[in-house]
Amino acid sequence: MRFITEKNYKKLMFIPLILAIICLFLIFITPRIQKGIDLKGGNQLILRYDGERIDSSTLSNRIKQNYSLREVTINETTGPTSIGIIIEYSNSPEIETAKAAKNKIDFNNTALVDLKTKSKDILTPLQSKNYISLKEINDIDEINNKDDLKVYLNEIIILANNNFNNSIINLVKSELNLGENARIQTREVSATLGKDFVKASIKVGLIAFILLTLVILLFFREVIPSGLIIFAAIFDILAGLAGMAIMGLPLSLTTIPALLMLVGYSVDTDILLSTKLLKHRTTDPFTAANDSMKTGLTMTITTIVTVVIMIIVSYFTQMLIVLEIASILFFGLLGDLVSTWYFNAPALIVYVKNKEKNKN
Amino acid sequence: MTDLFKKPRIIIWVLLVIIAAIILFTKGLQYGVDFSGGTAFQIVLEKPVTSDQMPGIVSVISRRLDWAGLKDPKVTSSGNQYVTAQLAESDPNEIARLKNTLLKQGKFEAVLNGEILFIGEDIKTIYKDPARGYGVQAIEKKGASSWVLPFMLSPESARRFAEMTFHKCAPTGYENKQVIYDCEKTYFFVDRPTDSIIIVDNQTYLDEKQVPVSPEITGSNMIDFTEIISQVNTNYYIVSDTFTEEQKVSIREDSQKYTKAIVSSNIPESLRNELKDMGYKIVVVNKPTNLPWIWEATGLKSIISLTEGVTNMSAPTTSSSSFEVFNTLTITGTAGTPEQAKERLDDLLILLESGSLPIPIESISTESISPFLGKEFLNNSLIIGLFALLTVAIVLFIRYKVFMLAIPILLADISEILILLSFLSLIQFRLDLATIAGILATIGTAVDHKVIITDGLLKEKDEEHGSVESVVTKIKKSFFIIFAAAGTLFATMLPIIFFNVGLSKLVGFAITIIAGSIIGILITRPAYAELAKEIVLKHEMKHKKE
Repeated sequence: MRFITEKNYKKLMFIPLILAIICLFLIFITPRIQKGIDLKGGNQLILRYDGERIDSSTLSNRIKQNYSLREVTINETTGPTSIGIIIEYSNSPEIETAKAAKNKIDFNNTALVDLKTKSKDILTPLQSKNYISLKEINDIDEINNKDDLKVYLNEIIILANNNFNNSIINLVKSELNLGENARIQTREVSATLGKDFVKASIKVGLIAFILLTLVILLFFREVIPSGLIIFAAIFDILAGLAGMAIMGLPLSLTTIPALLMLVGYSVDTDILLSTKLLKHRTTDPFTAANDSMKTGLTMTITTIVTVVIMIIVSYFTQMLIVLEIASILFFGLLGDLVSTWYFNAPALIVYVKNKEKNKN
Repeated sequence: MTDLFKKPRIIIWVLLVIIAAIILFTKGLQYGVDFSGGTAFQIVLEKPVTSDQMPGIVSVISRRLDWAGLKDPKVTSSGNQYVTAQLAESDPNEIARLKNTLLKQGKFEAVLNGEILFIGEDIKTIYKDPARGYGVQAIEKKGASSWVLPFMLSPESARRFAEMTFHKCAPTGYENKQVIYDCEKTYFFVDRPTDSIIIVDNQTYLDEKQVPVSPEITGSNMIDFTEIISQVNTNYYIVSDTFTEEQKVSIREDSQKYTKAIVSSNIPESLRNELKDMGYKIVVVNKPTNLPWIWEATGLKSIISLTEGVTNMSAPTTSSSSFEVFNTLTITGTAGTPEQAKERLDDLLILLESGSLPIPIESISTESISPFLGKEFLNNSLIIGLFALLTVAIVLFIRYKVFMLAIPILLADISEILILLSFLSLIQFRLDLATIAGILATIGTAVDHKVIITDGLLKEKDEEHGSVESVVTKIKKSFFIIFAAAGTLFATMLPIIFFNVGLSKLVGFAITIIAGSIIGILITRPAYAELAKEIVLKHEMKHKKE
């Protein structure tokens, strides 16, 4: 039984095109892919504990009200043996206001006395929230140059942010009755770092794609087959992204590596196929394609089975990072089956046939 | 089978596995915060710095953490605007304190007899110019090295320095027709605790009645505990289990003047509570491993002796015409090796600069994992890795139905991971979850490539067309695919490493994958090809016989 035949091969190519549109819809329209805190900045608190489940909406409301936060989300990641919660929360509005006000100050063209008054005005709301002490505001009087004041103001705002985060951690710990040996993971990503990560990722991604194209061109020296390999890689990434959108996984420093891995797996099968069809072919293109499909399917299916096992084991052990990576790979590899055998293979056959026709 | 061990590919493979095992056994692996627990600070500087500024910034940041009582923080730069510091601490309160000290510049004071000689702001310039003597030099005869650090004080502070140090040396004898002087010592502090009383337990006091003047040197001169404490201008109390009545009265009186109490870690909880009740804020100072407790408690960083040259020994009074004010002073010292001398010089340099950064810190992001969770992560990663390996072997066995093939598949995978880990151990890479992801990815591509090799070998049976290829051509063809695939993988991963832009986590991932691929395509996959060839040929022979 042959999968790719003289009759069906052109029709096969419609399926990936339709799927690509569906993927794009999932990624950009709904449910849409979100940026994780790595990329947008924010705070995250992951706790694991053995004990009773808590009512996460009560806790979330409590945090929201206590600190007048714009956004608090709590997700449970309960595994078979322990309970875990992931709390993500936005920055304190008072601190954000203070930061913005600080950045607006024109240190060069304002007298030191006025700068001191301004600084105190900026810090007072933080003191009323107990993020800093009165002494820290009064210490401003002892500063006698603008540079020191600038540095001091910066320091105090970061200090206030520390205390804000700490007090949330302590609140959560006491709500859950967690002791000293709590299994806690905290992350705090500044908005600037997040922005830098986005910029860096885009830059690195673009360069990687250019290099990838060059390397493939170098090996195959034919534009269309090389382009097809790149298309297949893009399709696999789209499938991975669509999977992320469905599962609600955000784009982050853990999910980006997973997408990069997909590029690696994707090109493996496509290069196999292109080599068999273009370089080492001894039979008609259909036989060659179906032959390499056997090998390709073994590769992808072995990896898919392994990934499924990883999903199961990481679910049981609550290794969230591996769970995320494996799930994305799962979707991406399913995508790879489609992109390689429904698109790249028939398209290559069309290409080979045309080439032979032109020769004759 | 014996022929197999004569093949170069197999010999190299076996040798490398043995070497890898030895490396792993002797050097072990280093774990990042993901597995050991702890905290990673990602520091963003306000603007990019030049590549020659970066090492200075890295050492200032590690020194600031050092001053905060944290030993052996691992500080590395990435790109030209980011610095990562990894520490073993994960207690949120402690992290907040460290983050705070990271932001703050230390307050440097040079003290003579309890009085300030000069402070950080008094230093106008530090001459980092070898022409002015700055740097490390080998001392010819002793085989040791000396270092020189020249700096300039502002005119007012230079005069104060000259007056305060006037005649602070005393002649003690003659040697080679020259007077030998014994001079007083100056004490260099960072954040001298002038706002605190010091409470030390009896045992610590007895251990440190006499402490070395230079703790970094073995066989250093000794100095009294009380001598150091007298430089801080504070009251101190030596206590055993309880305060005496006298001490209580005195400590209570002190609370009018001082707000904090620095206590050694052996001071019992009950006494700490008593101090709290009297209105003190308690600061517990633990004894560092390489320094006396009293150094840590008082913020003492260095003890430097005056030399007769700066103390105006030849001038009879400070108003005499021969009284000299030196604007430029130099600190010199000796150390056993040039490296030690350089380290000492760098230490003092940062000290005199009060640990100031040329570019302010814009923000600090943190990631903190409690040690309990870290351990769980490590164990779970091992379990997942094991399951992944077994799954691959089982699936491929089912596919090819040649039981013997499962053995080289497993062997190749395990050896690939082994060699990869030993490489990471050699470059002192700290393993984290990103590295694990990289290893899993490597296993994934390894699977793909093994399938390509195996299918290439088994091909003959399926193909009905006549041209029977030699085994060597088959493997060659397979390796074209493998090299092309590895080439694309490098193309994807190399930009992450070379355009290092603060994505330090991804860098670990990329390094692991690239190293894994290189090891795979050069060593383990060729070795697998040899083993598989042997097995497939035998298998076919058997089938033919049947």
